[in-house]
Amino acid sequence: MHYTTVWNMMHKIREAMGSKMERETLSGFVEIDYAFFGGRSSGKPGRALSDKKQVVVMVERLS
Amino acid sequence: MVVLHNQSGLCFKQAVEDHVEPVTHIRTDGYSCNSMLHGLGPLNMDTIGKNYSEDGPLKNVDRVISLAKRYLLGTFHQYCSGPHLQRFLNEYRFNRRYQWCQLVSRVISACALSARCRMVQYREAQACCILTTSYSMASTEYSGIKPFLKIFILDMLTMLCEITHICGVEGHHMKRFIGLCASVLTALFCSSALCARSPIPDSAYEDAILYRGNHSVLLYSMQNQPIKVDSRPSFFLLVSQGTGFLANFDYGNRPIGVNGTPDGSAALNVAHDLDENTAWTQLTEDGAKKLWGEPSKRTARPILTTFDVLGKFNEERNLYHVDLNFDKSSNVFGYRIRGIGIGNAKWIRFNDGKFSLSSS
Repeated sequence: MHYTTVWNMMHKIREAMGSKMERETLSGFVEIDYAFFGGRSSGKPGRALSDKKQVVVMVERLS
Repeated sequence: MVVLHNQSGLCFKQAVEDHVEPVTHIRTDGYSCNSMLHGLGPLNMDTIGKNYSEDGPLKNVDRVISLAKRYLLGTFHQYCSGPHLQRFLNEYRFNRRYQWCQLVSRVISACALSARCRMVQYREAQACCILTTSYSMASTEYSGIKPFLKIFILDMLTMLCEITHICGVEGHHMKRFIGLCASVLTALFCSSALCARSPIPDSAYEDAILYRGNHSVLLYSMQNQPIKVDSRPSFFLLVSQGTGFLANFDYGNRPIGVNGTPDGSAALNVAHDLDENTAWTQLTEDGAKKLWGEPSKRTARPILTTFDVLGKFNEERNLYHVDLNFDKSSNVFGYRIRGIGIGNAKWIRFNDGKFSLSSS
């Protein structure tokens, strides 16, 4: 199979894995924090860099 | 994990509103964007401090972020940015397999969220049957299953019944609900992942136990065709002590219609035939040949007969060898089973009306 075909299939699977997450809601005790994803790039560090993606991470705690 | 389209606080607020229930205790750090959460109204903001809160840092969420970053770096070497980042993050899963206390609620939420499941409709007819079967299997003595697992399954079933009462699910939906839960339970119960990893429970029978299934293995006929007993497929079930008997799996995993004669001529007597000793004494040389075909080889001792049998457990197919000792009236009086996962197969012989491990 061609690389692009496999790439497309993989991303369809990933899309399907995320569809459950979209319908889920968290309750109880929830921790929320930021993270900046997007690899290494030279220049300004941390959240000042504009080509990094801002990701909200929410975690439901057990207690 | 939600990737924000821009760095505005409104976008962040929307993401939180979408994924968090209205009445929730939220804990964040002192980042300026978090002040947007104050406007959400019914949310109960527990601690928002300049730095970390008094109860300690955001332990869980920091762990998830760290693991996710490590995962993206290790697996994709950071080639995961840009518009596809959300999908890469979807693939990341936090391992919650061993958090047993959460399992029931997660099963229920999975049931509730999977509205489009086609398998459910298929399961509906079998649902009650499976449920009662797994209940009876869990409640009665069943070798090879660990005691804590048995208690756990019983607890889950009890909770399931209570929940169906409380929620008042009726008719079609209740069938669907119970069907899904029961299939999950059955999969859990039969999963080799749980049993194979557990230590061997009975050291006395250690060498006769199949390590891979730990509690049972299915042996098909030599011709790879199911034997007909009352025009239903039946299989050879090997339980953990190395004993075996014919079983019919039409009614879940409960062996029904066990008898030693593969053509099914003997009358079915459940209470009597469930005893594996009886089934083995009834297994004759002709019956064994009917079950597994001609023996593959005869050793120097003429009484030893070896059959190559295809074993099947969790869709794996393996070849096992059933060595049988027949007496003069061609009835089985000793047997052993060799194959993958059986380290030192011991003979089990018929002594004083009962099968027991033999030293020789």
